[in-house]
Amino acid sequence: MAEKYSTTRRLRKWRKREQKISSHLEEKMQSLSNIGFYKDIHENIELVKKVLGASDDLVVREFSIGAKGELDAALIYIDGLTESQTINDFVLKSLMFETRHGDPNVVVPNSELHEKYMRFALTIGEVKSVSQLKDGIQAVLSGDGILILDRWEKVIIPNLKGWEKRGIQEPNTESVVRGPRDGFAETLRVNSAQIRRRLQDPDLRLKSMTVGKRTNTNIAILYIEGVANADLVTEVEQRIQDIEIDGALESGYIEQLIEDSHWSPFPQIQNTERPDKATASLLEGRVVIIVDGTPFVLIAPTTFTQFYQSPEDYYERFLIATLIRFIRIISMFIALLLPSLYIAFSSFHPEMIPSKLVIAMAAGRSTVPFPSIVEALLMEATMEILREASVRLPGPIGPTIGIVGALVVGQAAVQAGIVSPIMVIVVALTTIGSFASPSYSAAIALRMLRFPIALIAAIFGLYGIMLAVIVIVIHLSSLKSFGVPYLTPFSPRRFLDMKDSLIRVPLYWMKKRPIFLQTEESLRMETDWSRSTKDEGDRENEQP
Amino acid sequence: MRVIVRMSNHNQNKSFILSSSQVMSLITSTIIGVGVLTLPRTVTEKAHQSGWISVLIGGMISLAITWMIMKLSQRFHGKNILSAGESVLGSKKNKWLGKVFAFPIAFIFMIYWILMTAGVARTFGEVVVTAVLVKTPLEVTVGTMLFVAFLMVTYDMEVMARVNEILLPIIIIPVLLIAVLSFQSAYFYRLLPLFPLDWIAVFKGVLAGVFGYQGYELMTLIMGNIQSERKEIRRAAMFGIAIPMLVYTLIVIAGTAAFGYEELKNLMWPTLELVKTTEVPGLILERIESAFLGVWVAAVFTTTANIYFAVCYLIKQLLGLKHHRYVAIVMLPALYYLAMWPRNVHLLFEYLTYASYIGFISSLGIPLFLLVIAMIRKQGEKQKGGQPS
Repeated sequence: MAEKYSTTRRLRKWRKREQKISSHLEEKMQSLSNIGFYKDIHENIELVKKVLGASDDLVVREFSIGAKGELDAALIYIDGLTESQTINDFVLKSLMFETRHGDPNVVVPNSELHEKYMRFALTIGEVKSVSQLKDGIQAVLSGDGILILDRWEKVIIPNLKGWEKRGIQEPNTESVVRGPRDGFAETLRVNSAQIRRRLQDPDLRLKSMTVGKRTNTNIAILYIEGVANADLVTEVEQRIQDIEIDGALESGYIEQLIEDSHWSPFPQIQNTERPDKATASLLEGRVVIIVDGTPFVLIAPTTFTQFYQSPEDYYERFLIATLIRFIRIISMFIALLLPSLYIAFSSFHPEMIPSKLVIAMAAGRSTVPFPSIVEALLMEATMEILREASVRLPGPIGPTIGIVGALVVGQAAVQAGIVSPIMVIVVALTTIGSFASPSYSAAIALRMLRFPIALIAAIFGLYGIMLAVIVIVIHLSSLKSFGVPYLTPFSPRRFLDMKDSLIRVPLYWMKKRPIFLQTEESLRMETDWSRSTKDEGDRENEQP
Repeated sequence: MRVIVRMSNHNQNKSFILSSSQVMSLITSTIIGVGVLTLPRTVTEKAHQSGWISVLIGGMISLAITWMIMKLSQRFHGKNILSAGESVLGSKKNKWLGKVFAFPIAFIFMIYWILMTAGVARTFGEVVVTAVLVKTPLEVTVGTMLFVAFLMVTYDMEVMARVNEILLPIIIIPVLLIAVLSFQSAYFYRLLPLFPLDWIAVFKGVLAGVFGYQGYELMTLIMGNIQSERKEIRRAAMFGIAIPMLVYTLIVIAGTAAFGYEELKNLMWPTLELVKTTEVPGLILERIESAFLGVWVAAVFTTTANIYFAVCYLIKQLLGLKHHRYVAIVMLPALYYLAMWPRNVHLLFEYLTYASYIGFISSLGIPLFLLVIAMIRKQGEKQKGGQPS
């Protein structure tokens, strides 16, 4: 009973510690939050300058507006975060030129005049006015800039955001043969728009929040109202609100701070670079978390099925999709168990291997001076080093080094008699198997776990492997992701959800959303598709 | 966290409710354990060629006991054998009276479960050491098995149910495969003559048959966490016995047909010998007994860990502790010591038989006793019009 409260308790504990560290920053922001803007423009400019320090990229453009330039104004923004064309054409030009035609003799009460300028002269889509200094500073830092008008206690925040960003490219980590080629980018708005483009649903909700006292990273929680479980949404929101940290640079920060269990090697929140996958998750009733500054989007809750499910499964026809899923599951087991099975067979149970093969294996191993566990660890370590190196190497060299390294090192190691040829096959299969998983962060868990299992296999043989598997099963059974048991739908077993687990049944059989997500609306299809298409076919046949 | 509480049917006040497939998995995987390795011998020793009939009858008896426990559970919703015993034997005025009278009930089950946990771990350790890991000391195999079981016991019942649910196919499929594959070396005339049935021999074998099903007493513990008013839950519990019935009958038939009862007497682990005679089609693996034992670890693990859990849970309830985890820590060295206590396999089997007698009598007698008393005192009867709470 105790562990289900652990997350809250942990957050609270951690929050206490965090408070001490950031007290300086807190004091500064605390003092800011109570200050409003002055009436006088120069005092306001001084105030903003004082808070932001003497940064050289801070631009303060002072100018006058009105028919005779009777009203002083100033635009403050940070160079590089704003779009200069917008500033020139729609802020400065509009205010300075358009207001000249006004009748200077018409006396308008001051506050109304300012409102009028905002409503009338600023030809910009998104404009708002604030009176707190804190909000103004925030706007400058986020790339909006503030427009200060004289004799007014408010400032105007026009949307001036515009910076250099990477275009939409094909995602690197999750390639598919069939399916859309676009991936998420680094900007939150671009990412949320990609989901909006796919999901033109009035019930799609986007809630914004910021995380990080210093980075003020924007985070958006997306879900479909009326589909996603309302409790789930509040839980995700609550957990993100509880985060207190100075900066969250990538969605990995958020993932680690809101996951249920830290010590588990298994990812409890899924990440993806693919908008189609994120959209499909939304449709299933999950919650998507977009973090500004990274193309990796989080999906919660998630289950063990993420180890072998790919968006492609739903685009291919179901027989092929099921077959490919089986292949992924087999490769998952290969990645986890093959080296340890080799060790167990060769050192404890050689009688199990067919006799011709065992002779060949013995011949191959005759020159090898090490026991098979050393041999395996040696090759596995080499493989991991090669893999890591090929990731770090620039662009086109990476894969080349990987292939050359693997081939050359493997061949040379066999010839030098350090490892047996079978071991090279085993290691190669294991490595390939671990990359067949559609989810990189899930595959990493398996890659990591195969080392302890290999060690246990070297001590206890098959018995040890089975014990290790049981320990993993115990651990997986105890895991939860946002209240959803990790092994769903295998345990708790739900036959209706099994339709999309090891196998993928035809789409028209999956009329309901996964039950374990406890969605508010469970039906995906109203009509019996198989029936109606068949009827139509019959009708077509009847027509001459 | 709030949602975890709300989203799973699992919160502070209401205890965790097992699903029907979990009930089935728990019962089946607890029953199938080390017993199946010796079952063909123990049954045919008494019942000769009709051993499989004894197994079937033993299964029927187990079914009847399960049905009785279910009846008891229907009277006392959300109560396991200890808390049901407290309310049956106690009076409303003096609650301590129930506690005093229920204590022997819990104590008998406790003793039996402790003996079983240690016995099962030791038996499996013996099998592993004699058949696969010849050079490994017995202490290590018994110790690792108990330790892994301990790891599971530190979690809640929810986790135990899930582990059983996941491991169930790994337990059933290999043994069914072995039973079917070993028919290639079977001579069915060894099962004859079927008639005239030697009823006395068959009934002598029934006791050995019933011992093979031991593990269903776990029902007395988990009856506090099931909705026994639902028909599919009751049916799942029956299925939980029916699956081992099928497996055992097939194994005994295969064993008798392959060796004949005369030869079975001389085999220490007849099922293991049966595995040795089978050939895998395609010859991917030349000899499969190591693989079989490897997979068999799961079956023994579920038996050991489930009964271990039951002991700890019962003691926790008896002493009013916060979590059974603390009991499990204390129990671990005791269980290990107890498991290593018999000097050899024959003594072990002897002790296990005594334990089985305690188990059979307690699992038959205690629920029956409680049910009768409850009927006499008219306790836990359904109120008219009201939903059973």
